[in-house]
Amino acid sequence: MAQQLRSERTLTPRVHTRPGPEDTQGGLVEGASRRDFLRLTMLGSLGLMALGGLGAFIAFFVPQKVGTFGSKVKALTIDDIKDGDVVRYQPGKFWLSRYKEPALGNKSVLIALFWKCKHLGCTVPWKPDESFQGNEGIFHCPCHGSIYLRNGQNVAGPAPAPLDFMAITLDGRNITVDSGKRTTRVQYDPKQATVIG
Amino acid sequence: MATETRPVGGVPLKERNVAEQKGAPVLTSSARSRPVSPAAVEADTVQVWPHLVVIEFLAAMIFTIMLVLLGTLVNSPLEGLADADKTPNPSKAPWYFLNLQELLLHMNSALAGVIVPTVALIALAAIPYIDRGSTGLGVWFYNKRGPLVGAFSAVYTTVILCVLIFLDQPTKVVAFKDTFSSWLKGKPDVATEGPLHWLTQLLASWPFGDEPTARGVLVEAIMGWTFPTVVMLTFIVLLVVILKRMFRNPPLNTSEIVIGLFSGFVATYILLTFVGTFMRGPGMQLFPPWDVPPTDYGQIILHMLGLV
Repeated sequence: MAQQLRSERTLTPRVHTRPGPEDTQGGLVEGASRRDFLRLTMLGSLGLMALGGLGAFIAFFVPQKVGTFGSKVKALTIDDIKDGDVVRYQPGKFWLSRYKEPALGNKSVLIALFWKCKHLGCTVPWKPDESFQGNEGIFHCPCHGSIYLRNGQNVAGPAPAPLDFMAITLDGRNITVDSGKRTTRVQYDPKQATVIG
Repeated sequence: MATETRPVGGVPLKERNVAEQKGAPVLTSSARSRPVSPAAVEADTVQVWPHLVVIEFLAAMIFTIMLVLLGTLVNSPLEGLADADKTPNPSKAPWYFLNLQELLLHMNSALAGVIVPTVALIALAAIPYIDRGSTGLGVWFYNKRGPLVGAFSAVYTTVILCVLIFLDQPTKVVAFKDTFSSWLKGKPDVATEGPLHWLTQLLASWPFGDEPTARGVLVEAIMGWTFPTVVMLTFIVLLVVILKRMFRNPPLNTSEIVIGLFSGFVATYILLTFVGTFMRGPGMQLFPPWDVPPTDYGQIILHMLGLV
C-alpha cells in the first residue's frame, strides 16, 4: 500500500514556474528578473575573486625588499681588521676573514665568506675559542656539526664543500664586498683570496 | 556430484576447508555445508556499540587526562621570534626526527636525508613479499629461535652503532674527511706529500682541470658517499652471515633472517633517536647523556634584543 502511494507521488508532474521580466516588482531594473540579478551578482563576485588571486600571483614577480644583501657593500677599511680577525657583517650576511696565506709567501689576504652552511643552510657562527687540528678558531655549524677553517675550507662534518665566497674589490683602504656575486667552489684555493697591498 | 563440489559462496571450497581445519569460523554457505543460521552469525559477531565505542571512549579519556597533566606540570615555554642571522646552538629537529638528524652528521646529506630513508621504507614495505611463508602466521614467537635471533641482532646493532658514532667525532677522535684530504695533498700546501697525491695529480690533468678541484671532489665522493655506504652495507651483510653461522641446525629460514634485519632496524632507529636527543650538545658534539650542556636560550633572547 505504502509502495503504491510513493510511486504515485513520483509520477505526479512538478510544476516549475519561471519568473520572467513581467514578475519584476517596483521596477528596479527594467527587463532584469530577480534570478538574473542573483546570477550576475554571483558571477561578478567570483570574477572579482579570480582577479584578486591573479593580482596576488603577479605581485610575487615584483621584488618586495631591495636592501643591502645582494648588492655591493662598502663597509669596512683594511684598518678595521687585523691578520687573524674574522669580522661579522650582518647587512651583507658575510664573514670577512683576514689571514696570512703561506701559499702566497705569507702575504695578508682577505676573503668574504657567505655565512650560509653548504650542508643544509644554517647560519654558521665563528668560534674563536674552538680549534681543529691546530687551527685556532673555526666556523662550527650548530645544526650538523660541520667545521670550516678561517679560509672557508670544509674539513669535517657533513658539509660537502667550502663556504661560498663573495667578490672583494679594494679601493685604497676601503673594502667593497659584492654580496650578490657569490662563488661556489669544491676546494679552497689561495687564488680565491684577495691579496692586500 | 559436480554441483555438490562447486562452491556457492564467495570462498572456494579448498580454501574454506583449510580455514575450517585451522578452527577459523567460516560464515559462507556452500552446497556441501548446511546453510548458516542467524544464531551462528550472532555468536561470531561483536557489536560496535558497546564493545568498540566504550574502548575508544576510554582511550580518548585517558589521553585527554594525560595531555592535561603534561600541559600543567611540564613547563615548555616558546622561544622568541626566529632570527635567520643567528641559528640556535645546538639546532635540533623535533625529537622524532633526531634519528634522521643524527644520520645527517655522518654522511652526505642526499645519502642520509633521502636515499637511506627511502631504501629503508621500501625494504619495510617489501617484507610481506620477501617473507612469503605461512608458518606461524599471525602468531607471536611461534618458535624459540625468533626471539633469540631478534635479541642478538639488536645487541649487535647497538654495539656496532655505538662504536661508529664514537669514532666519527672529528674534533676528538678521527677527522675522516681531513685525514683523507691530507693523503691527497701535495707540496707546496704541506711539508710531506700525501700517499695518494698521485691520484689528485692524475685527476687534475683530466677531468677536473686543477688540483684543488680534484681533491675537493674526491674527498666528498669517497668520504661523503662511498665510505658511509660501504660501512652500512658491510655491517648489514655481516649480521646476516653471523646469524647464519650461529643458527645452522636447521638453517635459518627467510622469516628468521627478516626478523634479524628488522630487529636491527628497530635498534638503529631507537639508538639514533636516543643519541640525537640526549647526547648532542653545542656544535652537535657528542656528550655523555648526564653531561650535555643546556642550550643557552638566555643568550639567544639577549641577541634578539640586540644586547649581545
